[in-house]
Amino acid sequence: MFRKPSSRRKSESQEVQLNLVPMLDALVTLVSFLLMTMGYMAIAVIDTPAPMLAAPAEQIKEMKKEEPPLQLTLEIQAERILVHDWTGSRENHMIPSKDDPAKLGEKTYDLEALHQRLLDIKKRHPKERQLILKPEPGVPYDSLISIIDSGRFFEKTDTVPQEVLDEANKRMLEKKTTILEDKDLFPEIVFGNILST
Amino acid sequence: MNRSILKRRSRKKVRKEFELPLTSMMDMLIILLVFLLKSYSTSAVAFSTSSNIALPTSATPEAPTEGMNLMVEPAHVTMKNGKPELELGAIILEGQKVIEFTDQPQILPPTKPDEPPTVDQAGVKYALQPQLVGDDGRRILPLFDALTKEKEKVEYIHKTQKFVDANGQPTEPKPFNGTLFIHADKAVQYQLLRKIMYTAAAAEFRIFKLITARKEETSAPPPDAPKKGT
Repeated sequence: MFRKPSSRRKSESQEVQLNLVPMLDALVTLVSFLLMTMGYMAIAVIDTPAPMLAAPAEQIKEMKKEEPPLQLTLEIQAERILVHDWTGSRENHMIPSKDDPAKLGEKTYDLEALHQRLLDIKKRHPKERQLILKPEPGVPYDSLISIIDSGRFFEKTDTVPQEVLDEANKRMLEKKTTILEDKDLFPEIVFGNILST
Repeated sequence: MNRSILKRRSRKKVRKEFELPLTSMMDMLIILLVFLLKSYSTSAVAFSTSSNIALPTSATPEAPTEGMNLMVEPAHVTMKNGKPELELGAIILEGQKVIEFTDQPQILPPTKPDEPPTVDQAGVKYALQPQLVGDDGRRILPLFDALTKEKEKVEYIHKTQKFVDANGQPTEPKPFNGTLFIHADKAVQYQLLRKIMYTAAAAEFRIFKLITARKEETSAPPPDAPKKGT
C-alpha cells in the first residue's frame, strides 16, 4: 500500500527516545546524598581496658590450675624496647632502635624486629593473649600506636604456627562461637603503668 | 511567494532541536553511584572527630561503637576577621572544652601564599596548670569533675526514664559501661595520655578506646592521616 504523501512526511521524523531526564534527576540526588553522608576517613579503634587491681575470682581459680600467665611486658624506652615476662626468667629480650630512614640522625623503633620477637614468643606460649605496655612518659602517641599494631595481630605475610591454630580452634569450641581467632597475636592491650606515680 | 519561503525556513528551525548527550552523562553518574555505594560504610553510630586532630594510623579492624568522646586537640590557628589567631590546645569532652593547655606556641607564617598559617608544634609539652592537677600530678581535676558529671547524667536518665525495646515492651536500659573514646593527636606524649586514663579510671570510666585512622592495606608507607573527618 502506498501512503499518503502527508503521512509519509510525518513518519520520517518519528524517533523512539528514552526520557532520561527524570532518571538523571534521581541519580544526581542520590550521588549528592551519598557524597554528603560519606565518611572521608575510615576510623578504627583499639581497646585498652584500665588495669584492675585484682583479677576476677574465676580467673584466679583458672590461673591456679594451669601454669602462671606470662604477663608479657613491653617497656618502651627512648631508644629501645624491653620485652620480658613478669619475672624475666622465661622471656627477656631487648630490641634496640634503628636509624630512621626518613629523618637523618634520628632513631625509630625497630617494629619488624619486635614483631618477629613477638611471633617467636607466641609460638612458645600459644595461650597467651595479653600484652602489657609500660611506655616512658615522653613516648609519642604515634609510636605507641605503631607498637600496639605490630603486637596485636599476625600480618598477612606471616605463617601462623600450627600451635596457634590449634589453640584458636580450642578457644572457638570453648566459647561456642564460629569466629576463628587465628590472626590474634596478643590482642589484649593493657597499659601497666597508669596507676603508678 | 516571498511569504511562503519565510514560513518554510521557520518550520525547519523548529524541527532542529538542541539535545544534550544524556547517555554518556548517565554512564558517568552510574559509575560514580556504584563507587559511592561500595565505599559507603553502614555504621549505626554517627562518629565525628575534630578536624584539628591528626590521628595516628592503625591496621586494626575494629569499628567504633557507643561511648563518650574525649578529644585532645593541639593548639591551632583560627581566622578571626581575616587575622590569624592562636587557639590554645585543649581537652574536649563531648564537645565541651574542659581544660586548656598552657603552651603558647608561635604562629608560623605560611610557606606558600595560598596556605593558612600553621603553629610551631616543636617543643609543645601539653602542660597543664599545676593547681588543676591532683594525686601527685596524675589526676586532672576539671576532667575528673566533667567525667563524673557525665556519668551521673547517664545514671539519672536510667533512673528516671522508662525504656522500651523494639516491641514496645518496657525493658531495663543497658548498664553504664564506662566506655571512653580517646581522640588524640599523634604528637601527644604518653604522659598526658596516662593522666587522662588515670583520671578516667578514677571517674569509673574503665574501657578506653583509642581512635585511629584506618591504614590502607598496601605495602606503601602510610601517608599522613587525612585531616578532615565526618
